[in-house]
Amino acid sequence: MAVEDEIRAKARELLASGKAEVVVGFVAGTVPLTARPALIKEAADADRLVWNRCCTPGLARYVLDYIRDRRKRRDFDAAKAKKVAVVAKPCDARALVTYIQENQFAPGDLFVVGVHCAPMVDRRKVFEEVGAYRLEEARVDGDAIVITTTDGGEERLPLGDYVDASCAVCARLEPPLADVTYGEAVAPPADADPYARVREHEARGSDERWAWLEEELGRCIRCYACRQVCPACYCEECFAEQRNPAWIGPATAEEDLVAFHLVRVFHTAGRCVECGECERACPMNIQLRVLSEKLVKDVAEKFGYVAGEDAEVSPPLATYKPDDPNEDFM
Amino acid sequence: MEQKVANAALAETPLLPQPATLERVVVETAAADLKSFYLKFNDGRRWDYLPGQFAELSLYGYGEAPIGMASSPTEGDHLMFTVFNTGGAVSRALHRLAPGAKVGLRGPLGNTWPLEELRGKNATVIGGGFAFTTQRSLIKYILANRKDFAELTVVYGARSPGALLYKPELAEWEKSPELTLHLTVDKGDETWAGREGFVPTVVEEEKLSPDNAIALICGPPIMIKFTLPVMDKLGWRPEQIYTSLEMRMKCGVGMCGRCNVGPKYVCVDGPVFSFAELSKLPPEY
Amino acid sequence: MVAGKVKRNELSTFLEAAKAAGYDVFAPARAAEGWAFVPYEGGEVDLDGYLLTTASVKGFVLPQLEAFLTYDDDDGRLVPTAESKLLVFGVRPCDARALALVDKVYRDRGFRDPQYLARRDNTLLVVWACDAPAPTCFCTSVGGGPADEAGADVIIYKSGDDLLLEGVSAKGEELLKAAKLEKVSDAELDEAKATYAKVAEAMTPLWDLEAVRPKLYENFDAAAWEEVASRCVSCGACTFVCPSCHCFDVVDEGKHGRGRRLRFWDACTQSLFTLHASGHNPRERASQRYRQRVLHKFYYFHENWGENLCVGCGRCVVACPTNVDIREAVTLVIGP
Repeated sequence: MAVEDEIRAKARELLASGKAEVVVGFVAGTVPLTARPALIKEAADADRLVWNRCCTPGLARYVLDYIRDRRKRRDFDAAKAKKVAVVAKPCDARALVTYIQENQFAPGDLFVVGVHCAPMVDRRKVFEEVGAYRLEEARVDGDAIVITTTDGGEERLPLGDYVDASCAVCARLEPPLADVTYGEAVAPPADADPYARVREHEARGSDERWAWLEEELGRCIRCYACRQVCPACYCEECFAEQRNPAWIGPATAEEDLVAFHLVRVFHTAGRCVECGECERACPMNIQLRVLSEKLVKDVAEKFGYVAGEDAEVSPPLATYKPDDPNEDFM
Repeated sequence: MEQKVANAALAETPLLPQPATLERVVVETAAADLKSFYLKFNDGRRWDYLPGQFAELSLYGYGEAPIGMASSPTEGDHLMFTVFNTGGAVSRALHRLAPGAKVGLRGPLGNTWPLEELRGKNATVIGGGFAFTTQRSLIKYILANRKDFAELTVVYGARSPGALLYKPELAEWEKSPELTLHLTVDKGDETWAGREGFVPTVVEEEKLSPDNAIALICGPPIMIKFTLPVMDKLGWRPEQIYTSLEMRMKCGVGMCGRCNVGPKYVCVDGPVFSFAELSKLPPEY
Repeated sequence: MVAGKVKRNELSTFLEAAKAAGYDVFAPARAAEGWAFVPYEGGEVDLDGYLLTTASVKGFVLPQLEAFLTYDDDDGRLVPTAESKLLVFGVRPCDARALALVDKVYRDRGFRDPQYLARRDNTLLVVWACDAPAPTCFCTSVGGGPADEAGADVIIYKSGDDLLLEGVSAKGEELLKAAKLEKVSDAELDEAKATYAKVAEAMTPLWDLEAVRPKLYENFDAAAWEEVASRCVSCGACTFVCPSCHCFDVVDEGKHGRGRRLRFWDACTQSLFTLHASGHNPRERASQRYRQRVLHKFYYFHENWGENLCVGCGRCVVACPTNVDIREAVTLVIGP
C-alpha cells in the first residue's frame, strides 16, 4: 500500500474508533508543489490527507497548539481526553520529543503516525528557476518535477537538483517517537555534509561575516514567519515583543534585526530539530539555517547532544555538568 | 467618509502632540491607583470639545495613551484626565509626574455622548469603577446647561468607598436638587453609611424608568453584562442605551487600523455607541 | 492625452529622461528574495521573467519603519520628508491601485498625514500593464485589471517591439512631455489597449464581488473561518508583502526627554495586535484575526470607502508559509 493510503487508513481508523479526536496531517495545497497542514476531525475526511514530496511544513506546533487550546476548554477532562494524532516526519517527531522533555505534554497524549521520508522538494528553488508567478502546475514524476508554465511550456526538472537544503543532508531518518511508522527512509548521499554552509560561514573573516549578516538579515521584514513556524519558538511572550523592558527595538532597524535573529537562534540552542522550516517560511529568502545549524553543530561538538532524540535525556541547557566545555553557559 | 475635524492642527498634523503643562495632580482613590491630571496648553489654545471625547496623551520616551476627557468644556480652559495606573509605560510614567511637567495632547478625538439626542430628555448615567471619567464630564456639562435637559439620574458604583472618584463632587451632588445620585459600593467600611450592592441591583431597585430617557452606561464588562438584562426588563430599548468602548488604539485618527469593531473605528466612529448600533457589529471588543 | 513610445530595447532613453527631469529612478531587478525595486543605475533594464516584486511598492510611501517625530527636551517636531522626487518604474497595476486605496486612509478622512502625503506627491508610478498574469493573480475578481489605471501616473503597454507610454495623471503627462518621446498615434494606443482588454477577459473573475461582499459579513460566524485559518501560524508575512495593508504601530525610542517616535508596519494577523493592557484580547484566536484581515479587505473597507481593499496581486498566497489562500477563504466562507 502506498504511504498516503496507509496514512489515510490509519487516520480513518483512529477517528472512527474514537481513539483520536484529531489527526494533524497534510492536505493538498492551492499553489503548485505545496502541501499544507490540516486538522482532520472526521473519519470521512481522512481521504483528504496526502503524503508527497511537498509535505514540508512542520506539524509539531499544531499538536502543541491543539493541546494547549483544548486544555482551555471548559468541558475538557484530561482523564477522558482522546489522543491527538499526528503525521510525523522524523523532524516533526523530534520536535514532539522536545515538547515532552520541556513538559508541554505527555507521550500518552499523542498517537504518532511516523513516516520515513524522502527529501522534500524545495519549491522556492523551482520558483526561482521558472519564476514563482509563472508556475501554472507542477507534479513529481519519479525523479523529475514536471512543470507547466503560464505560457504553456512544459519542462522536466531533475528532482535531485531541487531538494530542500535541510532534507538533502538529513541523516536522522528514524522518527524517535512513533506508534506506527510507514514508508521507506531515503538516506542522504554518503558524502552529504550537514554543516557545509556553516563551515563556509565559519571560514569567513569577521568583517565578511558581518557583511553576510547585514546582507541576509537586512532583508528581514520582521514578519516573524520564522518564529511562528519554529517548533522551538513557542514562548507565550517573545522577548522580541516585550516592551517593558524593551530588549530590542520593534521594527527593522539593522541592529534590531540582527539582535532578533541572533537571540532567537540562541534560544533554540540544543532544541533546534533541523527541520529547516524557518528558512522555508521566510518570504525574503533569508538563509536562516546557517545560524541555527551553527548552534546545532556547536551543541553536537561541545556537548555531544542531538535535540529531540530521546525524551528521557535532559537537554544540555537544562543540565549542568562539571565538565561542560565553558565556565559560562554556552 | 470625511469627518469633521475639531481643529486645524489635528487635521494637518494629526500625529503631532500639542505641548501642554501639568498644572495640578489630584490623587482620587485610597489606593492612589487613579489620579486626575489638570493640564493647560502652553500656547493658551483651547479645545472645542464635548463630553465623551478623548485625547491621546503623549509622554515623550514612553508613548501615548488614549484617555477620555473627564473635564467638561463648561469648566474653563483646563483639561482634566483621570488615569488608572495600568502598569503600562505611559500611565506609570504619568503617575510619577509632578506639576510643571510637560506633556503632549492630540485631540479632541472621537465622537461625544449623544447630546443632541439627550436634549429635553431624562439623562440616566450608570457608571462603575474608573470608567466614570467621561460620565463626570457629561454630568458637569448637563449641570452647566441644566435647562436643556430633563431629569438627571446618576447611579455610580465602585468596589469600595476608597475607590470612588471625585468624592468632593459626589458629596455636593448628593445634596443637590439638580440631580438624583445613587451611590453604591460592593463592600462598605467603617466610614461608609451608604448603600452596599452592585450596580445592576441598584438599577433594578430604583426602577430606573426608560420613559423619555437616554441611558449612558460605562463600566467593567461584567457590570454591563448584568445591567443590560435588568434594563431590558424595565423596558429600555437598545436604541436608548449608550456606552463608550475601549479598544487598543495608537493613532486615534483612523489610520493605524487596530481599533475597529467590524467596519467602525472606535477612535473616529466611537468611542460612544448605542447598543442598537453595537448589535449590528461583531462582538470583537 | 499625452503619450509616446520607445523601442523595448531602448527603454533607457525614457528612464534617463526621467533622471534628467529630476527623478530618482527605481526599477525591478532580480534579488535574493525574488524581484525588488532597486535604484536604476543606467543602461537597459532586463525584465525577462519579471512578474511582481516580492515586496510591494508601498514601502516607498509608507516605509516599514519611519521616525516621524523627534523630541528634545520634551519639544516634539515632525521629521521633514526628503524632497527628492521618486520614480518607480515597472509597478504592476495592482500595486498602484493599492496605493490609491491607502491614500484614502491617510488623506480623505479629514486627518491628513503630512509625511505620507509628501512622499506620495513626490512619487511617480510608471505602471507596467500585465500581458501575462500569473496563476495567483486575481485582480479582475476584485475590481482591478491588468491595465488598470488607478493610482498610476504613466502606464506602459507593449506593442510589438515598441513600448507605448501614456500619461494618466498630471504628473505623468508632464514627465512624458519633458521626455520628448517618439509620437504614438491614437490608433496604435487603442490597438495595444485592445490586446490588454483580451488579457483581462481571459481572467475570469472568481466570484461576483458585489454578491460576495454582504455574504462574507453575513457568514461572520461560519465554521469555514476556523477551517481556513486552522493552519494560520499568526505571522505577518501576508500583511507585510500586501500592497494595501497599511496598519502601523507606534513606539518611542529614547527616554529622558530626547529621542524619536517611530511608526512601523503592524499586522492584524499577529496576536498582540489588539491585546489590551488588561490582558483582554478581542481577537484571541487565529481564525478571528484572519477573518479580520479578509473582512477588512472585502467588506469593512468597502463600507467606509466604497472600494475593495484587496487588489488581487496574489502575494499573500505565495508568501504564506502554510498556504492560507485568501481566494479559497472567500470561496469557502461564502459557501456554494
